[in-house]
Amino acid sequence: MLIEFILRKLRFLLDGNNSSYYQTEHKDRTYTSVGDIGNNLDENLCSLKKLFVNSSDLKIHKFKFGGGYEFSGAVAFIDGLASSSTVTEAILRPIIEWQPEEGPLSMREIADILSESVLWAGEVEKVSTMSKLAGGCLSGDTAILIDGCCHALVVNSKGWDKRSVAEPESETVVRGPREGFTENLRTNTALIRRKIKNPKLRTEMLTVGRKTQTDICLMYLDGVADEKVVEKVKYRISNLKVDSILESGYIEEYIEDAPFSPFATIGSTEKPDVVAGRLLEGRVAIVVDGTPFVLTVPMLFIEIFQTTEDYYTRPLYASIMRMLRMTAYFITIFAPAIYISLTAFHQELLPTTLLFTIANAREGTPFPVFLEILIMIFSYEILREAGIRLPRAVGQAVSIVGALIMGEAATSAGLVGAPVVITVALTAVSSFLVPMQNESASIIRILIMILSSILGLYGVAMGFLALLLYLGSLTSFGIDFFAGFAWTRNLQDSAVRMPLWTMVKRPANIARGDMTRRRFFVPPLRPYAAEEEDDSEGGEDVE
Amino acid sequence: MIRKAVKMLNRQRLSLIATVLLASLLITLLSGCWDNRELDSLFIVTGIALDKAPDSDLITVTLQIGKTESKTGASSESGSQEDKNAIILKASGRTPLHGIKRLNFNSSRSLFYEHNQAVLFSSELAREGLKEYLDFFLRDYESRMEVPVFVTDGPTDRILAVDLEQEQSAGMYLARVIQDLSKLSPYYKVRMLDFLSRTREETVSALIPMVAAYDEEDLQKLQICGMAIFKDGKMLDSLNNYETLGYILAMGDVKLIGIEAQSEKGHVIFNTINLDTKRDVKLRQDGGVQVKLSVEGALGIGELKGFNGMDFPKVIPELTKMAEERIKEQIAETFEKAKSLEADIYAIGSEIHRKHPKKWEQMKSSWGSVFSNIDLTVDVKVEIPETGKSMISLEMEGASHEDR
Repeated sequence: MLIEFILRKLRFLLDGNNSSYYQTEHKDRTYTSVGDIGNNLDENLCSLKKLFVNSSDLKIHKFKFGGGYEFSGAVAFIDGLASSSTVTEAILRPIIEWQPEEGPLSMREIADILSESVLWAGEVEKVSTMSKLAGGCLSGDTAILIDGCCHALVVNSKGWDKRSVAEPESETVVRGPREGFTENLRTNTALIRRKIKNPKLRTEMLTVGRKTQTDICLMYLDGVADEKVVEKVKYRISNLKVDSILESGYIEEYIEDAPFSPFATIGSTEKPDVVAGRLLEGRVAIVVDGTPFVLTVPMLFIEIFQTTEDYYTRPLYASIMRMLRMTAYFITIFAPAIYISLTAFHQELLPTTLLFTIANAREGTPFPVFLEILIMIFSYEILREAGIRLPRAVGQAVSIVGALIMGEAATSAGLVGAPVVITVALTAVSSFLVPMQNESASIIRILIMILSSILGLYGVAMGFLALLLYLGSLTSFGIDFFAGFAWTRNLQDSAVRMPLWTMVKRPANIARGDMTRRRFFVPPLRPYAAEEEDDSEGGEDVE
Repeated sequence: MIRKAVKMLNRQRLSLIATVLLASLLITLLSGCWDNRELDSLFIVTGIALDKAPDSDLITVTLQIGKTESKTGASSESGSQEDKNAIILKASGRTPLHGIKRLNFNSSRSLFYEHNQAVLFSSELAREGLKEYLDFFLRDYESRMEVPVFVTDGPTDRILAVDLEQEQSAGMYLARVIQDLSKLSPYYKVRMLDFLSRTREETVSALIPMVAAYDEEDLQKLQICGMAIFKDGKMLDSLNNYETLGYILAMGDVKLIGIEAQSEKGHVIFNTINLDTKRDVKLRQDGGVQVKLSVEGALGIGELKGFNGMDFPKVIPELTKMAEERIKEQIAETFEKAKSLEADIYAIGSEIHRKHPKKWEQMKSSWGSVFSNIDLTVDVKVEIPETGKSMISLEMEGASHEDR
């Protein structure tokens, strides 16, 4: 509560400092002042070059066309963004080979004719301002300027090099689709749409970032997603006064409910099937151009224990695995603290034989047990960080050095006791079961450890209580973050993953409107039932 | 910016924060006794023994401390085979706590009693009376009431100092032995709690297992050698293992013990399968008490010797008779001993107290003499449904041609 209070004050202060920001905002959009496209081709090209400050990757090619080559025009595109084969085959070639049949044409008509019957392109836009032309060029399109015409055509020719759809490295599965998002926004939205072939899947484009002009796509199922949440997301993103968005993490940080919380209150994933599943539960996806990580809101705490594979494997096993993950999360936060309080405060709680085993290991170690564990956890974090950033081959070497040499040498040198190494190893391994909240766990772990080193198990209990209270106070876009554990109708998909046929309703706290997933609560036990009744169709989806 | 922040948090807010901080500090005081004790700063006590100090009226407190040693680093140089497993600390004082407080001055680490495994009293001290020394065990937070108590045959420090092969220390050994024996019968396990509550009741006599140390070749060993009978906190006499068995049979709830019987025909050891005793206490008109014990149950044959030339159907009734006689005899023998000591180890007095509270008030004062005149009848009825893997023994008839 206290911390919350201080944070609120700080936030307010930060807001105050940024008030000067609003005035400078519009200065950056300098090319808006360049003006409209004129009739003179050379002048237009000149101002285009000026706009790009003679940038070397802006390519301008002049040409003549028409039956007697009476017209002159030019194409402008950014080298590398536009596909050169599209530029030559779909734009230049048809224009140059074009033989006008009718008599003299006005310049204004030429633009229409070109776009309607000459160009081999699916997306042609007629623009009249220099800024739109430049914007088109910058997003990979090709601009066609014609002498004497005050309109330009912007033809879609996006064709930059991009990574193909590959298996995501951060989320690997044994069973389930292996495709992952790429850095290309359109590829990503297409991947999601391929999962949900429904016109109600809405995509809304937003552009954010004064300098970067990053495309952001909101996706949600109309009639399923909570409109309030959609509005909130739209409002928060469109009101971002930032100059750059390089990754979805930027967006996440700007729009989350609890910016100072160690817990992430916005979900992110690299897998289209995860996003599709969440969209069907009524969540909103935020796809950001340039990153394979797609955000989903609102996020519940329970989501960190859910994996896509839970829904692809058998419910019994999936439920056990979920409970295992919860236990592991508990262990990874509390194991070091409980070890400290048991060995430094409540020795009477240990069985005598175990006490002597631990006491034997403790004998002769130089540090108090809290410091001992802190050192080990610290060195574990160092090793983990080292392993992540290094190339894979070297990373393995690091983990071998860490696991074998550090642990073994530290115990045999008598610096730390073997039970401490075991505890820290257990803590570390358990944290891998819940990779989504790894960061929060490693912070809270230390806090609870400090509490336990002062107050023993009492401190651990108080820490646990404080943690629960804190989690209960968090929200994600107005939805209670901790809601997944509450005793509601939605328990069929929380600690236990019930069979899919029992999940007849969408989660009540997320979805609005069309709540029905399945009309009847019927187990699929009867072998001949399929012909008699079709209970698979959802509520209002009648297309 | 910080200055700005301070300005924002006006006085009222600051005092609120101060209150919250103070309150959260005070909460820590509510947690009762807590203390940070590092494991390597503790002496883990595994046994406490009280003995009479020689040449004075003080008592000796002996503490046995489990030795911890690091198995890493430099231990290989110093760790010789001769090292003892436990550290023995000794001090004398007027009371147990007096002695322990003195011990604090000559130990390098603080003493930790929660894991105490056994409390030992020397028989010499026990015969003079333990009541005055028990207060410490009643009062102390750290010492557990579940710890088993023993009376030692001979000086206590010898027993605690015994260097055992198997267990780490004598205290641990005794705790394990009692754990093991309580699988035979729960009456073997006498915890501090039982001893204290029995001592509190005036008419009930407490029993405490007795332990003795002896040398066998080069090895030192410990052995449970019966039970000491207490009356009003003073040790009167002791039951040997045979008499203890008679006591256990009389009390019932026998799990698995061996009963040995012998006649001119042969020798047999029975294993109890289930054996329970029902007790019926009746007050006679003349003020006497009549106790009827009926033992019922099943025995298995553990070992047979003799019975040469007899066939199996004949042997079984013979064995049944032997077992019944034996049990009857054994119970009666122990009962006689208790009667002669006027020590109500069977808690018959408490039963009369429960059933006839008014009459008990009259009997209470003269319970000792009433107890010594109790009329005991023992009915034993056993079956032998189990003979182990083999029915007959090699010496019996039919061994040669009827191999089952």
